Amino acid sequence: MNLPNTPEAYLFLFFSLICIVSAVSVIFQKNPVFSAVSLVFTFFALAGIYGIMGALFIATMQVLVYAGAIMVLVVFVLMLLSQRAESLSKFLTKPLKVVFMSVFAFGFFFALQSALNTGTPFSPSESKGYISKDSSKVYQYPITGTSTISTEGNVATVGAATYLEYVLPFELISLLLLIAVIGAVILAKRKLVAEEAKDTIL
Amino acid sequence: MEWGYLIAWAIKILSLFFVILTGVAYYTLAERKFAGFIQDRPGPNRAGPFGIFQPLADGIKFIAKEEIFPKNVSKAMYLLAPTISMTCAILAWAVIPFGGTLPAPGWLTTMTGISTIDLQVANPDAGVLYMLAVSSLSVYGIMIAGWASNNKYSLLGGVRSTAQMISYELPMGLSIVVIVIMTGSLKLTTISESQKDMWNILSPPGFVAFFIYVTAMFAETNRLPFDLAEAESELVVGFHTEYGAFKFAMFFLAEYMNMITMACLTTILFFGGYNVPFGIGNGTDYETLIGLGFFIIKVLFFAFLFIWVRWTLPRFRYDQLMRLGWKKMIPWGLFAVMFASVYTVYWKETWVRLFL
Repeated sequence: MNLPNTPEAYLFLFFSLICIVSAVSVIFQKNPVFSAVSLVFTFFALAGIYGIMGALFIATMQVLVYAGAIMVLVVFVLMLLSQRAESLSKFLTKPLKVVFMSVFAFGFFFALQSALNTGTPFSPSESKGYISKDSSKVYQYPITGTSTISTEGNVATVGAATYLEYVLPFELISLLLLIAVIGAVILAKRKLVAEEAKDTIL
Repeated sequence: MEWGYLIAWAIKILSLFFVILTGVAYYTLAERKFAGFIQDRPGPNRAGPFGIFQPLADGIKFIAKEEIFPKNVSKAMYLLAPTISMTCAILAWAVIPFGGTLPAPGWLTTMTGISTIDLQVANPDAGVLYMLAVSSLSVYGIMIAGWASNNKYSLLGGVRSTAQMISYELPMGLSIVVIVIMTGSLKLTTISESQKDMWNILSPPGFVAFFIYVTAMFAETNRLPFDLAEAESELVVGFHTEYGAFKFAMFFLAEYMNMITMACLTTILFFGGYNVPFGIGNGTDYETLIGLGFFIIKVLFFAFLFIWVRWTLPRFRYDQLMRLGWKKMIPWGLFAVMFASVYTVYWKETWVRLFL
């Protein structure tokens, strides 16, 4: 570990520690509600890491959407359902399965680690959707900026990337969500016709 | 230099914290005094002249009481719930701009090397979104309290309150979007400064959005006429039935703190923030302090509105609450957003000229 001796590095250590501990806790808690609350803490730590990177808008949206909206519904449903404490013992009865899963997990994390160390996820010169610091007030399209996400232009940057460059995927996602909502309504709707038919038979 | 900034920030944060806690304590006294006035009785008047030491006495009482853990609660969650409520209530104060910039007193400049004080702790790019995010988190406190107490009244209170807060976050968000469209920024200081000539309440879409916002505000803070989470006549006191002593005090303080936060946000979004009407004290040395004074007066009015409404209106029924939220407020909110877009593009310049 050769971390630079800056406040950001220590904050990153702090948040990543919380993130890992709470993520492990999501899996190993016996009570589903405890797991869900641990997941909320994971989202918080992730928001903190986004904040360190300067993406304050993404950090806010992480808290607002994931912790504030989605997990509220998940916890809400978990609390209403009758639940019992799960136990790990039923997975431990099959030793072969445990060994296989451990090998898989080890291999996965090894692959992840080696990919992070050797590969280049994207090179900064080709990155899209960010504006350079010197022209932070003006957004230009197509984007020609390079290095960092400017703190001033976070919202404008995300908005421009969403509505100019990636407008088609964005609209397709909204269409997908509409389909999901309609599907949920149809599934949840009571079948009035069938009940009437039953009444006539009886 | 770095350390100077840190010390200055610590001083600012601690002094704000002190002011808030004192303010909240006296807000509870004000609530009881006005309740007494409205119900034609004196209210608390034993501790000190006019009962002004009542909050102190209450605080000592809360701390000195025995901490009781009911038998069937899940202890970690039971303790986590009031902590979350209180933390979220305090977090929201980080971004509220109370005024402009003050020159720092001499001793502070020599000690820390800073020359001006912004009357705001942090000024993020998306301050409005931060407020929304923090207020949407406060639902966890209530929900976990209701579940961890292992009590039917508590659970019902928690479930009701969660559903209510999720429903009313949408109209509240929509009414804030109206202001964001008219201003073109998510920054709270920019929103304040854009209202120098005309408060947002005086523009037609802002006028519509204001009523949506105020209704949603009452629902978000779980106050009458929407206090179904507590509903004394049905649920004992709802989600904090099993809480006593200091744990209850934390819920209590968080509720009143949220109310003051909402009053501040109303002032910033619709009533010009720290702008002073008719240019009183413009260009003088005391401009910032006058602005701060006007901000506090406006906030106190909305804080009073909470008390006034609570002791005047009866409680809504639960189905009425949901019908109002989903069938009235959200369509009106969507209408206000469209109205604001049209207004901003076509009519805004003409309308603003009326006020210059």
